[in-house]
Amino acid sequence: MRKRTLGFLTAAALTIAAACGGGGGAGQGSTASGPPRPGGSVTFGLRADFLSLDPLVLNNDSDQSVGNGIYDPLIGRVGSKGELGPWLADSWEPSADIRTWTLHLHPGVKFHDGTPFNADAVVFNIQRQMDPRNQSRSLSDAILIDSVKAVDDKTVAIALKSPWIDFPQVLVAPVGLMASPTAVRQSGADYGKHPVGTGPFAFKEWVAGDHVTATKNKDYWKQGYPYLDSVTWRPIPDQDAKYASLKSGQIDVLQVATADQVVKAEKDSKLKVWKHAGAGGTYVMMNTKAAPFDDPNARLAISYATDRKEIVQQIGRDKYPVALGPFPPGSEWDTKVEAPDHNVDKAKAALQAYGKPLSFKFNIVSDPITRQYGQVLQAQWKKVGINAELVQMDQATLIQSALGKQFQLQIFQYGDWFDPDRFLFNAFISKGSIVNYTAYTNPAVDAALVKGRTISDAAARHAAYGVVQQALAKDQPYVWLHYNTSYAISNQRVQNLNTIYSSITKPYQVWVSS
Amino acid sequence: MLTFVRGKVLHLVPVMFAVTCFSFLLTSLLPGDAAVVMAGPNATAESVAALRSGLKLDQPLPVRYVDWLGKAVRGDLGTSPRSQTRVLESIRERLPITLELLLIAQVMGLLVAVPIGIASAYRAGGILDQAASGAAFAVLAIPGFVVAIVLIYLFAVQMDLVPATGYTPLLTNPLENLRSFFLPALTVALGEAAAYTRLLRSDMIATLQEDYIAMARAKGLPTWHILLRHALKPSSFTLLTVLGINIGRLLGGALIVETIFALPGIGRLLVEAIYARDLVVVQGVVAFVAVAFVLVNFGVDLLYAVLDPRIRHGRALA
Repeated sequence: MRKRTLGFLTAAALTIAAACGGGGGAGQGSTASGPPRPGGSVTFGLRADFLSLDPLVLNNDSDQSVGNGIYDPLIGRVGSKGELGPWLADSWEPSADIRTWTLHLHPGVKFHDGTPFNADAVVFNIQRQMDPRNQSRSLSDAILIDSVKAVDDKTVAIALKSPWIDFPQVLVAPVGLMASPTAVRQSGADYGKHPVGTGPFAFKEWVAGDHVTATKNKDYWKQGYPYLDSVTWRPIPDQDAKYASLKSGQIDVLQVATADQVVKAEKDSKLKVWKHAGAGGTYVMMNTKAAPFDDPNARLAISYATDRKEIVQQIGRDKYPVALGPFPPGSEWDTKVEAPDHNVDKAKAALQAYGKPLSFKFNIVSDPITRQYGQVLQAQWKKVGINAELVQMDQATLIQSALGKQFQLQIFQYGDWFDPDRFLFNAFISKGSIVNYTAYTNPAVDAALVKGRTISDAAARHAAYGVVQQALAKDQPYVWLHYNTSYAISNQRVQNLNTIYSSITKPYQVWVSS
Repeated sequence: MLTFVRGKVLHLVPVMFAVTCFSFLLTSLLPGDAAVVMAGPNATAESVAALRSGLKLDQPLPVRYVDWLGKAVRGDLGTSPRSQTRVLESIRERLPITLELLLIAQVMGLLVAVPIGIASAYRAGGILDQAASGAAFAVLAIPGFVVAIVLIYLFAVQMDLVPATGYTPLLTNPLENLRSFFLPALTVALGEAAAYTRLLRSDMIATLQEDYIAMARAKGLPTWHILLRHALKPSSFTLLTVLGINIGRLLGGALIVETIFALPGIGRLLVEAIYARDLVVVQGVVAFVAVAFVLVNFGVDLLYAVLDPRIRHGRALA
């Protein structure tokens, strides 16, 4: 699943930032009535438009939801917490040095065009993602692959440029979605409009910008699935219009619901709410290499002055859990370290230790919800005498200023990650990452991050991320605000819309009551 | 007439050049690196560099402009790196939807504006005139996105008469097509009707003072005949000018209306491209729209000449 930072989101998407720790699974909507019923159709209302269904292009919650209908990934997310499980690959294992991964493919799978899915197809797809000329949106992942080759018809070996225990997560994401090589070659540049996969639904029609419809793959290799005869995906960017469309029946499922919509839907007997408590979150980050936040006391003052509970109540309508660190409560990675929480006295003490008036520029994306975050935080900090000047900018500028370390303090967001390496490595490694926005440098953390990435022993990995958690709590380059929860709202006939990780839906298990 | 047309066409060349140059510069000078946005949150220096050279962002601006213009005049507006789709193909796909929206909205607007404008002018200061002015100012004062949400709530959620969002192609189902355009077109049309009513009314009042109208009255011609045959045509000049200039404003409005009603037109294509920093699409669409705007107004200029013989014969307007 793909991660996001606040900077990469449109205004509407910010609101999914909901979260609750560790739990996962479905919300009130999970109580399906009776056994699954085959037949019927469902229309999903998506957040953003999609222009191509080529796996090279898929990268957000909207187009990946469509991708989940038409394609299968090599490795799937099967558990309620996003645990990995067999999908197109029955099994996989790393070499002793964790630089080569061998995948054993499921036999007898065919693409919708009748061509066989085999090792050559995997090689074709992954090489396509790796070639910089194809400008894959997943290039940042694919570029870490050194080579891929077919060992035999059902076995593939993927060699990496360096050891990487978390690599299977990449094969869940678009890099691992398998398109028919025959169809890609035939359609050429137009492939994205005529996608052919092995998935539960076969592409049928596309009315540009309005909808994509796919019909049941009757020869689907997963026995008994899918239940629906057809699925339609419709992007509706405006949140109010999307909710009205759900109420008036143009869509059955509203993806990426705002906290306000969730509160409204919970009171509506015709609707039900689905949720997934994820691991990502929303946080304030500070540039540790420039004044004033090169002084740890200034960062501590911000952390103590921040009332996370008030933010979750005022902006999140209590739909996301408060966050004090990278790991949600209940996460297997949480080593329960002491982290700074709201405390006015300690904030004042930290300010005193800092010794000067604390004032700085606070960069935010100029959309209504981020502005709320900015204003609430500004008011909270003001109470202890910290002066934040809000500077509004568009997303691209915000990211640019973060990359160039031309900022003092910013608000950001990261979508669900399922293994700490996915998020923490690039965010905090001191060398070689351009998204270590805070310019955080800590040799102990560097060593722990490399260890967490390159060893397979689970206990040792847990210990390594314990070191990272401890250091982040002490140094506070990030002040966490809350964790993510993905919400979707549907009408009552939609059943079994479970596991909406990162707000991405999967239609194969969905069915409708009559 | 031919000299007139030739002069106008020659005039177009520098205008087009300026328009494309500005649209290219504006999008290129925006802060924020398109390659960085595309590379996403797991970006590495290597992936950003590869994307940047793929997008030719590492070349100087004038080189990129000349390269872009050279292709643009040959009808190649480039390929979106985000969607791997040719920009001209995206425009071709989405233009009919925007045109249909604007056409229906204009027809709806004129259907309301012309009769009310004439009637208001005929009895200026009367009850109908006052009610029409009041309504026009009220509509002009409410922003389009508010009108849109209110209309959705009334017609789609409460009465369930038309769909709240979405689009059915004309050839798939003409009736559904019109139903899907009803609310967005009405949103645009309300504002237009208000403005057109005001314009037509004031021009018509002026025309009705003319001597030839008094002459027609003296001849005993029926009122409707005088209003429609004698007064309407000469009173339409301002309206016509505004219709032409309005194309630009309407396209601006289409950005919002298409986004709210999830209509897959050019406006929405542009909005999504701006969010995604898809500069190739933004440049292509802005240049296309700007050129279309210039051409429409060129057409309006020609239409004047048709409507008013004094223009095509080169004499000044009295």
